[in-house]
Amino acid sequence: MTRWSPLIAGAVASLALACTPPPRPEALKTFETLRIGEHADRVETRQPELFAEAQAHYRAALVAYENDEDVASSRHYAQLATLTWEAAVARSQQQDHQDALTAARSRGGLAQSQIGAHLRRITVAKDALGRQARLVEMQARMAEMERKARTQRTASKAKTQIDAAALEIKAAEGVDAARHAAAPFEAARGHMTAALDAFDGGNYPEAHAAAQEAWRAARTAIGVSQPLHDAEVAAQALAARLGQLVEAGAALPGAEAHLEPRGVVVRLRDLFKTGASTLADEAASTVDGVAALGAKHPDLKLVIEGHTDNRGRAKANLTLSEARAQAVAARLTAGGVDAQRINAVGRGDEAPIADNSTKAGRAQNRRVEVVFVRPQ
Amino acid sequence: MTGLTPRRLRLLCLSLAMIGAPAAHAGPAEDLAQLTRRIDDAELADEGRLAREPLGQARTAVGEARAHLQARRSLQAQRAWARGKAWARLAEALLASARAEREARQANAEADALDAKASALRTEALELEQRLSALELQPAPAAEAPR
Repeated sequence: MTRWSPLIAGAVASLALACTPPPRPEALKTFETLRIGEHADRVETRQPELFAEAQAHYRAALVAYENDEDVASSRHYAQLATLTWEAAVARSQQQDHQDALTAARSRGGLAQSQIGAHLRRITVAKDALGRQARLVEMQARMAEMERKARTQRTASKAKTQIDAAALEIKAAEGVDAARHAAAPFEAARGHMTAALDAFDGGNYPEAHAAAQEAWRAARTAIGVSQPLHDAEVAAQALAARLGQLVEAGAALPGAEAHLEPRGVVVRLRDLFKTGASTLADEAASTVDGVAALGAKHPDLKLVIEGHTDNRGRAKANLTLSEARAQAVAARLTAGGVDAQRINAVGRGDEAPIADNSTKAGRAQNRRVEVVFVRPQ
Repeated sequence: MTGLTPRRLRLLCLSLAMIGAPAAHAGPAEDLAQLTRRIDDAELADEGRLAREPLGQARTAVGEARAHLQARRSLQAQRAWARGKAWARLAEALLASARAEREARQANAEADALDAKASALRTEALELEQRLSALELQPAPAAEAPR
């Protein structure tokens, strides 16, 4: 029995070995693990063909292993199943990436359209801002132009007022306001200086106001000075005129002339023969000369006074002197002097100008005086 | 034991049946050449050597298939060819997935840049519009009073 024990043991072992199924191929286990892994649902859904192929390989592997115990075939088909499964996973991931690519392109397209829209908004806003800036600039320029125009108008107005004040001050000087109305005249000059200073400094409203004050002060000075000046001028003119009249009267033959407060007195002698009241022929030209003077000064009244010496009776002298005065008046009227201007009076011997006790004195007293009356 | 055992007979029948299966048909030399070109093309496209291992396995399988063909071991040749195709398909799928991933990443980066640009332009547009609103609400500049 002991000799056969190894043989029996060997046979039993071989029999046992022959009845033990072969080990399950690792490739089969690997696929089975993959089959229930994280990608299982996605592979079945997204790669149905590869999924079916992997399943077919797996079934073949199972058949080879379970039915025929063909480990090599089972290993082969299991490997094909695994490779097919992994290819399916890779393709599924490829699809995921393609989906992501599509989404990214879509997102990019949306962003591009948004970029276009924002760029248009920016363009519109920049255009509007540019227009607004140009509008503001234009308004500022117009405001500046208006300010300059206003300044120019103000300056022009001040200049005009200054010119007017200067003319008025000059007119005041013409009527000697410095003497006749010193206070307002000096005030006018003071205001004028202030106006010129303000104008030079660009302060046109102040210059205008000062020039107005200067004008008013000058006007006041003129108001005070004008009548006084006119009176002076008139008096001077009258004095000159009366002086000329005196000279002209003195130039008449046989005539004397002088100026008295009552006017120019032209003293005529030897116009009449003794006792007569008719002009002597030789005296006519002298009286005509006086008439000519009277015609040259039509505004002057004439008073013709007849005078005698004191020989004879006073009443007779008076009558004679009046007749003689009338005779001269008639001759003057005939010479062109308006009779309305003439007042002929006899003074008799009431107003001697010389001593009647001498012959020469009496000759002087026998006279006719034509008075060109000083105007009032 | 020698001869055709029941087990061996079943294996033979199974092998013959596999010949008709769509996933494994007899691969002649032309098919191996075509598979080799396919592997070559994939290797050229694999700049990052991402599919180095599956392509290497595919080449090995092609070599085994050729050897089995020469030794007239048709079943082994057929199986090696099938494995070679499966490895090549896996390599191509990995490369295609990686390419798609790169394209998706690049497209996302471009989209991110465009989003950022759109956001910046939106901010700029809002600021300009706010400036415009403020200006439109302001009164016109008043003329200076005369001196």
